Amino acid sequence: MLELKQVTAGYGKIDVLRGVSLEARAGEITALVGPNGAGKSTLLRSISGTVVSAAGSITFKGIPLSGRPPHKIASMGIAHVQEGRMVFGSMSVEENLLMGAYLKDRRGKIKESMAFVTGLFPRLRERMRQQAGTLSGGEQQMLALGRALMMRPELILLDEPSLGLAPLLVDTIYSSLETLNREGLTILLVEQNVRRALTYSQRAYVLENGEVILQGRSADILVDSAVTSAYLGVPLEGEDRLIRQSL
Amino acid sequence: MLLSSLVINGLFTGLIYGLIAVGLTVIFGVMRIINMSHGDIVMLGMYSAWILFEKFGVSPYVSMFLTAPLFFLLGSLIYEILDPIPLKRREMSSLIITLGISFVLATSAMLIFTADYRTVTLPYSQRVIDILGTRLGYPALISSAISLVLMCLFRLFLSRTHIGRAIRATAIDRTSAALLGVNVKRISQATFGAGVVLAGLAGGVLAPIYYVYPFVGSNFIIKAFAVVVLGGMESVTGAIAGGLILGVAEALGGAFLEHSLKDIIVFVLFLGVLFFRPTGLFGGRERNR
Ligand SMILES: Nc1ncnc2c1ncn2[C@@H]1O[C@H](COP(=O)(O)OP(=O)(O)OP(=O)(O)O)[C@@H](O)[C@H]1O
Ligand SMILES: [Mg+2]
Repeated sequence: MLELKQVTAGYGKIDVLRGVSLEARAGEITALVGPNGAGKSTLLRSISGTVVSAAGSITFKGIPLSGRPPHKIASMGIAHVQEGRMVFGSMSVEENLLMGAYLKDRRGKIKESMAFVTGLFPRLRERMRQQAGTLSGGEQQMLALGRALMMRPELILLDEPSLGLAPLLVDTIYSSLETLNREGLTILLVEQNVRRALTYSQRAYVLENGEVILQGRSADILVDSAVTSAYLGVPLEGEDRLIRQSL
Repeated sequence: MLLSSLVINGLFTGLIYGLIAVGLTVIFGVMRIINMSHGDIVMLGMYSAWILFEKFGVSPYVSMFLTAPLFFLLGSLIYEILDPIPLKRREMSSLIITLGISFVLATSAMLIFTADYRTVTLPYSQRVIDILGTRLGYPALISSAISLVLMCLFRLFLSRTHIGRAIRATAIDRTSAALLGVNVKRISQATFGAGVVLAGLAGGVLAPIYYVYPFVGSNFIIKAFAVVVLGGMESVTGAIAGGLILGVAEALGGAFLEHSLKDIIVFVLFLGVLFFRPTGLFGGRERNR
């Protein structure tokens, strides 16, 4: 469904991604893991068009995305939930959700979409009139996800949906991701918690220093700890240690 | 004059000040552009009301709505000049460019209309109405009422329509808005257009109650800044509140100070608030982005 070939992208003159190839298959959850600063968020940004890729090709259902502005890419059915749950803080929960249905052809289905999202996250229904900025971290994550679902996307890019959340809330988020995936949503998931990412996904990519250093079926990667520690466990610093421990 | 009369007079004037400021704030909110030509667009609104009244006898309260599309066009055009400036350098560059536009507009008005003071005298200009013992001219009353209604409508537009919400969302975080399908450039252009239309409408309500002359805009931009400092850049409600405070303060100051000192009130308020409440009287936290 989504295919990246030899994508190079970055900020200004600095290349963060250096020839990344990746595929997210329809109906699957694809995980993208790697240490801090590897370029995971940059990869998602280059798909959604908020970072312009310098070389390579990105196609969605066979249509090239390069050169398209973010709002065009959004209208093609790609939702991007950014790192740090960027909800509109001074707008109400309801207004945030309505912004998800901003695109014209989504407006006709607002009622159904609302019912679906509040069915998935009943907490949001209780807080419709509350300012989004006053929600708890977990609620904000639910809102960010719910707002993206209001777009009725075919592909959703999720950047660290569990960051800073209590384990119980992480479970809630992940079980809703499973539900969504079962209903046909394709997900590209960036996650710090490698074990969780590999457990919930069908395929996974490991990104380091802007390059894919490992890819395959998540179950294989999870089991084959010899392979993973060879690739991931070299320096016992920061994120690398975290990855090794969680494997 | 009685204290209550001063306050009531101030409140009515304040509503008009609020309307002058709303367009300035919405443009700043979305684009981080301080439109220095805002007051001169108010001046254009006054002149167009004056011409249509002189030539065709159309009341400013009607003609202001007829000319609104032209003001939208003007706003979109000014936006096209400012759009290529990268966001990082926008606050400073746009200040200088819009200041230039301000000069061009005021001097053009000078060449076309000369420096003469013009007035729009409506058939009911001399009639007064008694409100709680305060005598208020008909035009002042109508202008204030229209200002209030326009601000309330604009507020509803921002909160109840898809485009209005998109304008607010873009002001908070343009990247997130774009990711939801908002064409940020088009929304910015529409916002600039709407802000300029509001300035034009303010000119329409001012024409029957204020002298019309080429450099009248500089009075209004200062008032608009004072309102913004008082009410914050965040909301229409803030502009209404800021306008009311300024109106009342001016009316009181005008009564108790010598006439030549009256204009100092604006600056004293301005500096006072900046000193004690740098985010504005009602401004709480900084916005998200
Ligand atoms: N807006 C930006 N401007 C310039 N450089 C940036 C910007 N955003 C990220 N970078 C740089 O790009 C590199 C990759 O960042 P990116 O956010 O993609 O990493 P990441 O894998 O998502 O890391 P994390 O796990 O910490 O979220 C980093 O070196 C970072 O400093
Ligand atoms: Mg990241």
